[in-house]
Amino acid sequence: MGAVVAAAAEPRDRFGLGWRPELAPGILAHRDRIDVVEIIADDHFRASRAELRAWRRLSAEIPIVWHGISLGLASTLPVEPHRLDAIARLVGETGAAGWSEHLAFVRAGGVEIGHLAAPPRSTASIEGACANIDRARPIIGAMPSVENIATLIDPPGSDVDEPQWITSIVDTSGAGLLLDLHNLYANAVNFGANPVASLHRLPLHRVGIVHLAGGRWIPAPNGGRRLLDDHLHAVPPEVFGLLTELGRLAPQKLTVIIERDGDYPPFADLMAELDRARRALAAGRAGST
Amino acid sequence: MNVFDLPGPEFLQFYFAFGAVVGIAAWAFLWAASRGGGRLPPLLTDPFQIAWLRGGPLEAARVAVVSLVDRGLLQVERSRMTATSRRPRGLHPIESALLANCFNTGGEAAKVLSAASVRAACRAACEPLIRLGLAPSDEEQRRRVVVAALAGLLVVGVGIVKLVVAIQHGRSNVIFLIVLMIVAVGFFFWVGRPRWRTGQGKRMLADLRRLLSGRKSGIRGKPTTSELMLFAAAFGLSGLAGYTELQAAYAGTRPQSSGSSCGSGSSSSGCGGGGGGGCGGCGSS
Repeated sequence: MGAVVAAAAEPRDRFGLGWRPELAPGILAHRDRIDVVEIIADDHFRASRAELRAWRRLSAEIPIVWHGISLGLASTLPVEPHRLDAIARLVGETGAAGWSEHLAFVRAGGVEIGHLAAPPRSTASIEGACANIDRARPIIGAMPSVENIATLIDPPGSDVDEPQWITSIVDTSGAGLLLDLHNLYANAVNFGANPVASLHRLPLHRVGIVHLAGGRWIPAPNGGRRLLDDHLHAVPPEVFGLLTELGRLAPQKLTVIIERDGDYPPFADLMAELDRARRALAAGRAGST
Repeated sequence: MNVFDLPGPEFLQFYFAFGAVVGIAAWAFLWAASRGGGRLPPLLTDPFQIAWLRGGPLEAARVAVVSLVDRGLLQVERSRMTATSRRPRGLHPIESALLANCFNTGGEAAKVLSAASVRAACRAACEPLIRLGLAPSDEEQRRRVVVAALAGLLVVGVGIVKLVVAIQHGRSNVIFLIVLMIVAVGFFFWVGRPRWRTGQGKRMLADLRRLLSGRKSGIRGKPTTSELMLFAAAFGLSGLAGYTELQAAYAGTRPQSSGSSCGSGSSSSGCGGGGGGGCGGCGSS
């Protein structure tokens, strides 16, 4: 069974980690078990030529994906050209496998919010996101994968729900979907939806990259609790369950990346988590045949 | 015009300029020869090879010490090494040679690390560096010595001729000329000394340091032995900051005398800072 499971996962799907300085030595020391790394683009917008060479050398060994966090794609405001130029430079100079960004807005009225915020799910934000993706593609030279974000607030002024909103943007723009399963799970449990049902309503044939992460429960303002996607905890079993379901429904090659932003466990634990992701996806693949 | 007939001050100016031109030309020739093409060799992750680029066989052996101490196979007390009785399978050849020589040499760190079998194991493990263009071959090392020696002989020879001419004319104020000749000898010794790495190797080491820098203390528990070896290989002593026993063991293997016939590159350098933040959804609270 183990051999069948391994064979179902390995030839097609890739598994990797988000690159963090604290994880760098572990990634290099265990690169035979890591298929891809995802790097926060904004941390390297001012990379020197020497630094770009280092990333280029890494990408020749392990495929890298640049992951933006400050474009503010899902906004009626046009994305700032200098940020697109910066990402274009990173993608072009390092031989990266691609790039991704969030379906979020990060600034408005001259104010930098400081984190990813969910815009109203309206026609305006759909059109704004698609226009920004159209602006980005010719400058960067590749279509991005766009990521669903977690939110603690159901954005007011919304006309459609999250799956409809995401589907409209992806179908209209032609962008790939980076499906963050913990974000999907958190939004579902926070707003009373069924995570599996939410998964089924997304354009799963457009998913190319999958994020796995963990979070923690925090008190909600009106009593009860909300799930915070803080990337500081292990991936919960429910998210691995969603990955299995995704594997059953999405036959295309998937790149699965575990995100961890702090409170890092021993690297062996992260490798074990990655292996669990392999088994979860393979179980879904096996169930689809 | 015969330059050797120039008055003292004028000749000193000429000699300085002449020596500078010859020195820069020799250095530039050797630098271009070792620079390598635009291709990027594959990223090194073998800690012994990385340590070799930084400081040759001694540093490769010191990384093996870190590995053995971390796994409880070796103890280093000041400059004495003591091997435990355990000999697990799967030791790297450098590690095996180290442990074997602990018994053969009585455990004096300097003797263990400089043992012929240890150096041979290091050289064998790092032979691929030459094929990758990251370390100079014996032929390239010889060429470096020959070029530096010829350039040095030329410069010093001109100085000697002037010394003879000056003395024949009864001049005794030749101290500045002698000082310049000594400086020239020192410079060409530095140009001609064997290197552990080529220009490509230097860039590889720089890239590795960039990728590994920015380590903070955010990892729960202790890094694995493999990770510690990478730190030690890329940064030397400073790469083991926070791991007192390993730092002490690494420091205990420091060579007794400063410099070696093939020393190049520092054995330690600071970890550079590095940015790094996540995109954790709605942020943490």
